[in-house]
Amino acid sequence: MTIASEPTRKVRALTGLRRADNAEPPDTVPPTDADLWSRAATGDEPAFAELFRRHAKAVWNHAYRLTASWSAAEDLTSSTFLTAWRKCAGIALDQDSARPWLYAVAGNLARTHARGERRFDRLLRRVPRAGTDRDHAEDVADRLSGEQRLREVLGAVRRLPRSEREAAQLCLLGDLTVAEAASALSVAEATVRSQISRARARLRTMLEES
Amino acid sequence: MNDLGLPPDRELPSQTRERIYDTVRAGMDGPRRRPARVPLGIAAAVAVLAGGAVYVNGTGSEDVPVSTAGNADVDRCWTAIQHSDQAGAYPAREAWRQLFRESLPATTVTGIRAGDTSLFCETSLTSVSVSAPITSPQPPEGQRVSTAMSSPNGTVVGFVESGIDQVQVRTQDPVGTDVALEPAPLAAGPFAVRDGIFVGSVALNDVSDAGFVAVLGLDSQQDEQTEQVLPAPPPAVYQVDRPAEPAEDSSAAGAALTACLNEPGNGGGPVVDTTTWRAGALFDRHFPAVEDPESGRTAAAYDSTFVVATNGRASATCSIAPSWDFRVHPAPETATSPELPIALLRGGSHFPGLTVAGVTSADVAKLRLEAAGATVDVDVHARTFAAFVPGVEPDGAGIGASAVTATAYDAAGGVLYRGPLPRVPKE
Repeated sequence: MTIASEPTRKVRALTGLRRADNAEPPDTVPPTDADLWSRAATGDEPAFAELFRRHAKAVWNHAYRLTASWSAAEDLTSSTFLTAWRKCAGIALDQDSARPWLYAVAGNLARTHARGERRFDRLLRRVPRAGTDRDHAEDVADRLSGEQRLREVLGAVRRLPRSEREAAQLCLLGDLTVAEAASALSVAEATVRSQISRARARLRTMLEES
Repeated sequence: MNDLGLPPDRELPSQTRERIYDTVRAGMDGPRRRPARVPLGIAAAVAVLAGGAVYVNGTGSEDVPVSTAGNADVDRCWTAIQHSDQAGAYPAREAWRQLFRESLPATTVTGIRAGDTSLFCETSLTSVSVSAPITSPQPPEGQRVSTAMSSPNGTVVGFVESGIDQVQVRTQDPVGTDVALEPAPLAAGPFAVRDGIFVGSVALNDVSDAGFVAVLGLDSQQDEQTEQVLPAPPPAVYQVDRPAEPAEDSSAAGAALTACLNEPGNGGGPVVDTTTWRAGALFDRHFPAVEDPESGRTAAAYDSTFVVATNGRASATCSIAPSWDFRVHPAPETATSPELPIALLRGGSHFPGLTVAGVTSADVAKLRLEAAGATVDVDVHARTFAAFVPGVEPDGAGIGASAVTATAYDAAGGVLYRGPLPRVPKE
């Protein structure tokens, strides 16, 4: 058995990504997430890389909204896709998009890593890794303002009743539709609508009070 | 910004994207799991749901639960419900999705979700306990913790409010324990809380008559610990679906085991799966009073009596004297291996000597224990043994081990193992 050296692994990783960037000629019908998922389940790394290309940005932004930390969001995004790779062989995708599942996993991992207020606070105070925040050299004041607002919202979301919190994480912090969240939560769309409505009202009250 | 004032999405910089994928790729060489394939929507739901404690067989919080189709434990739960007079109160079997599966020492608890309804089911070798269907899987308004079910096997399942990581459940009224001859509150835990749900064994028999108290704030250095009296709702459905013939009690070991299992010293009901346990080695010894020549004080005489037992799931030690105690340990086939055909389950210091109890692999017929110049030959009964090794004291690292040399023989006298007596595993 040969073990790939670190540089070789790096090249393989980037090659997989770049292949995914140019995976489909423009005159062909792009494969669905379900197709890619099935192929990834058999060990097809380019198919998995294409799934990553499609959803990495969304998962990364969602992870940030779950943690209020770009550093933690990067770790969470890695963990989410690694979980997807490890689990896809045992799971059949029955939706058009893999995004609800990825959001669900990200949410679960975020709770696992940030359980409890103390640990949650620790996570928010993490020192960003070198190079992580260099990518976002925007106005520092705006960034801090946005992060402060996000922390306030996150704190309020964490105080919601569980069912409302789950729906809020997917639809208010995340960008899932009511139908996608209902599918992910295995409840009726009307239930999600109601939970979102109640969550929104509670959040407004809590945020005004804060 | 959206209506909550959240910052808008950002573009994922290519440098960050490649760094993330590089990290993912580095982990992709690891093992992949292949559970039964389940619809993704279901798995995702379980990962987020209220009861979404995403741990299966205790393998970790990131596990994605499996479908309940073909799950023998869940099938037993459903069958028990169907045989009860409450079948109409539960959601249809086809809608059931497994939230988690937790293996406790003597039972397995499965969390199930169907639409907006949750339920919990405990299966043992002989019985099924099912909670009432629950539509609000969280403590009631104004409470921090609540109980979904307290089973006759000593298992408690409940909910805690958001932000609580650990909860300890103890009996409200004192009961007998193994660590104190006087009755004391029976504590179990702390139980880990996952996604607002805790599951654990307070005891291995029904002690709910003593009442339960939850102790909160165990994981916080800032918060003071608080206590809350817990109700102990019995299962809505309880059925002995796999009855077993009681063990024979004509032998001394059988009689001792029957008494130990059916008359627990903690005042509760019979021990979990009472009829399944089969007696192995019996230990029964009188330790006379000993006078300490230096202090002139005398340690009172006492008896030590316990039985090592096995059933189809585990092994156990049931102690009658000097105080009642029942503990479940791994089954002989799990605890031993061809390289190490002896496993110590528990031991005790009885100056000047040790009591040891354990299990063996199937081909071990006799043991010889040697320590401090003494040699003790021990018969193996149904893959179990119990013995007193005189002249030995714990070496500070636990009972057993380097101070005692063990030799295991097969029925023909062949040596299967010779070496240190293994230590008692940490519980």
